[in-house]
Amino acid sequence: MRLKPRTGLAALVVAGTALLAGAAPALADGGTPTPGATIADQSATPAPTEAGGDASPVPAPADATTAPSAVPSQVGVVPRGGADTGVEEPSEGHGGLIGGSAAAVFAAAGTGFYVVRRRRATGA
Amino acid sequence: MSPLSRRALILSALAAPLVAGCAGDPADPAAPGDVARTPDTSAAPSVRAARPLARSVPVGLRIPAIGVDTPVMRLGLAADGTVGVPPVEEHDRAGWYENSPTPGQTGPSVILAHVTVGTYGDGVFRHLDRLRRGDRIRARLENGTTAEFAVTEVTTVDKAEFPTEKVYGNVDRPELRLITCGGPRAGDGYRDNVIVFAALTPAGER
Repeated sequence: MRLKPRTGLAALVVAGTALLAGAAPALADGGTPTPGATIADQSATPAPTEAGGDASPVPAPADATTAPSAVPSQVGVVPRGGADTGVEEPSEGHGGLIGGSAAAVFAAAGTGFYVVRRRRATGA
Repeated sequence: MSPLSRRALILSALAAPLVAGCAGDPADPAAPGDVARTPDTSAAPSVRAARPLARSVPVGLRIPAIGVDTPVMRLGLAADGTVGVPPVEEHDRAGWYENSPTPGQTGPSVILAHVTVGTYGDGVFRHLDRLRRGDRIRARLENGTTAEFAVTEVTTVDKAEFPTEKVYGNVDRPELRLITCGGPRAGDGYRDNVIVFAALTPAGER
C-alpha cells in the first residue's frame, strides 16, 4: 500500500529523465553550430572582453606568429639609393681634343713660317 | 504529487541539459587550427653557414684574389641620405658603414670603397667586379680576430635600380656586402654599382 505512490513517482521521474535525455542530443545538435559561432568569435576577437578564458589563448599564439615580422632592422638606418664610389679622372677626352687641336695650330704656323723664310731666302 | 517527487523531477530536468552542455564544449576547443601555424615560422630559418662572431669594428680588409689589402675607416650617412664614401685621396681606403652590423655579426655588414679616385687613379675596389664565387674576403677586426667570408654573388646594377632590400635587408646569418661603382661613365660619375655578396665561412673567426 505504501509502495504504490512511491513506485508511481519513481516511474514518473524515470520517464521524465528519459524524455529529457532524449532531448539532450537535440540540444547538443543545436550546440554544434556553436563551433561556427566560436570561429566567428575568433575572427571578431578584437572584443575579447566577453569570453576572456577562450579569447585570450587564441590571440596569444597569433601574436607570437606575427611577432617575427616586426623584427627590428639589422641595419640601423638604411641609406637612400646606391653609393657614389667613383670619382672620375679629369676628363681625358676633352683634354686630348684640346691638345690635338693646339698641335695642329702649331704645325700650321710652323709650316707658314717655313714657307715665308724659304721665299725670302730665294728672293721670290 | 508529493513535494519529494516534485523535487526529483525538477532536479532531473535541470541535470539533463547540463550534461548535454558539457558534451558540446569539447567540440569548441577543436578550433585550435591556428596553433598549427606556429611550426611554419620555426621552419623559416634556414641552415646557418657559420656561428656569428662578437661585435667588433673592422679595421682592415684583405681580398687576395684582387690584391686588396687596405685599412678600413668608419662611414656614416651623407647629408642627402645616401651612404657616405671614403675621401678622395692618394692613399685610398675602404670604409665600413657604421649603421650596419660589424663583419661576423648576424646581418649584412656593408663595406664600400672607390673604383677610381680622380687624378689619383685607381681606387681600392678597382677590380671588385673580377671577384668570383668562392673567393675569400678577410676582415680584420678591432679585437684582433679576423672574420673570413666567401663570395656568393657578384652583380652590377644600375644605380637607379639599386637593390636596397637585397643589400641592406635582414638576413639570418652573418653576411658581407662590398660596394663600389662600375659600368660605363655617365656624366660626372659611373652609371652602375658593383655589389659583392659574401657569407661568413664555417671557419669564421680566424
